[in-house]
Amino acid sequence: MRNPEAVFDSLVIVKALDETLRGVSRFELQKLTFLACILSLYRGLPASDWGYRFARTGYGTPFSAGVNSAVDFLLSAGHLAEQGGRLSASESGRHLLEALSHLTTCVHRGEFLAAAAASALAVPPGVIAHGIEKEPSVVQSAIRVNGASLLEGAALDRLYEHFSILSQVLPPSAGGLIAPSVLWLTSLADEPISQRIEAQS
Amino acid sequence: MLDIDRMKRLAEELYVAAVQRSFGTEGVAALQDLIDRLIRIYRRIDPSIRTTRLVLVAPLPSKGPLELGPLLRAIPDVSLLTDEMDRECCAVLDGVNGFAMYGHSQLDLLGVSRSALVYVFQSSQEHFYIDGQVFRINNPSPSHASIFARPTFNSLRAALESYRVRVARESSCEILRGVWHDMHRLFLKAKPEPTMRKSLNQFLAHVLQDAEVKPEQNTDETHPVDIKVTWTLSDHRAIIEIKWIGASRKADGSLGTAWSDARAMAGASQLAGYLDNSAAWAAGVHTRGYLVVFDARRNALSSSRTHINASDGLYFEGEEIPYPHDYSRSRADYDAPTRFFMRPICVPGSA
Repeated sequence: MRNPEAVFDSLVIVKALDETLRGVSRFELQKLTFLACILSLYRGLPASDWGYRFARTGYGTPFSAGVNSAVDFLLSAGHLAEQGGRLSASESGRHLLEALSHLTTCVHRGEFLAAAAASALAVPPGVIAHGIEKEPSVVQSAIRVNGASLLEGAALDRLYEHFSILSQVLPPSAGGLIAPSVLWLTSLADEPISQRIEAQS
Repeated sequence: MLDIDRMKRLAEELYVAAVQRSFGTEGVAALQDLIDRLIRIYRRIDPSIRTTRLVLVAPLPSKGPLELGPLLRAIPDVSLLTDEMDRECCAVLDGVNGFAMYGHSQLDLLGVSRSALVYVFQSSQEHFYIDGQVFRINNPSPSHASIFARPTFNSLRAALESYRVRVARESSCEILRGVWHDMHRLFLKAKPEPTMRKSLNQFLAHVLQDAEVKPEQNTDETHPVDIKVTWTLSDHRAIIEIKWIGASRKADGSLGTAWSDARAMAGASQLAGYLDNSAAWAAGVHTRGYLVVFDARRNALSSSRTHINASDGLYFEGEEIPYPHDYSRSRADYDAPTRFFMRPICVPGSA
């Protein structure tokens, strides 16, 4: 049975980046849905509420079978098109997205997905991957064989410690999720993307 | 565990956080618009060949209209851009996809930045002006002039070729510049391999679609893997072996190891051997081997030489390595070796 959250998330990310990046790769989609899930945790939602899980697999890390199946379904139904390894939304895909956006389980997800997509544009391409590689459960899963679930256990506690520090530096009430997302990623990736310099008049 | 003081420093330097601090959600929304349009501009106008300044302004509606002088022209959509932005210009975001073009001279960028977001591209550097402050964008990958110009390669071969031309040839990457012992790039530092690996790894990680790129510890000749590339949702892998040839100096200035092209030839055999061994324990995984050779050879290089002319410096630029056996012809899992000739800084007339 299709996971409606995974279908919705895939369509949102693809539609958000379709025109700007001329499509989204499956690899990018996996990373960005994972990032969106992390941002939902930052907002205080439990990991179990996200609707599908991520794991370390031989196909890549993080990897969600739910997202992968959703993409397969959307392609076979013509809601997504794939060219040169990049996914784009068709008109029927955009209509489906509009319909799904009214589902109770999907209404609140847009904020996290939008912030993840925006983060992808605000930083050099490798920063997203390098940052996510250092996410505590991804790091911990590296010592286990493929199939290790992410965002659970002791590693999740360490992620919440990250959030505690992040919320002290950029208080959640001060704005949206893009700045905390980018700060968290660049901090983990250890790749400062900008520096303030002396202003010359 | 993240360090809060370090994170605070990063937040102070981060342009996105600056936008949020100064202009809140309205500012972040305007930033998203600006970046979106910038990426699409750079698809039409390659920033790497740009010689004039580009200023892009995202107004903040709550701050009221901007005073930028007379409107020169309006461009309703990015897709209609031809040469309007080739000259030095100031483009203000207008509507969903368009721009309003204004004259560029006498623009007080810091002043404008108090009521709008300002992006400036000039001399291959990009800055954001945010509420009277200036933030320089760090570009980790010299493959393109802007982090908002998104190079992507479907094949590792294409990416390696781009690295050869854009990075290795002139040591364009800040990391790779660290391999040189001297300013004219005659001698490498001792043990340059980790730096070369880091440079190439970072480049590939930024430009390869759908791939994880990880450095590996090249522990000995039986495990000559420096970088491993894994494509998502695929059973294909690539292993990259890095060799360098040329001369090196130790930190105290004494001569270090020097390698001739024989080392590259040996590397080719080692990689073939490793691929044979790996096939046994990685059944079901399609692994392809790539040998890359950082070529820092110079002609007539004596220990006392500190400068080099073009004749000696570029002597080996066109000299391909004569591998005794072309594994790429006899094996399906072996790509043709790639040589990255690294140019010195030549001094005319030097002996």
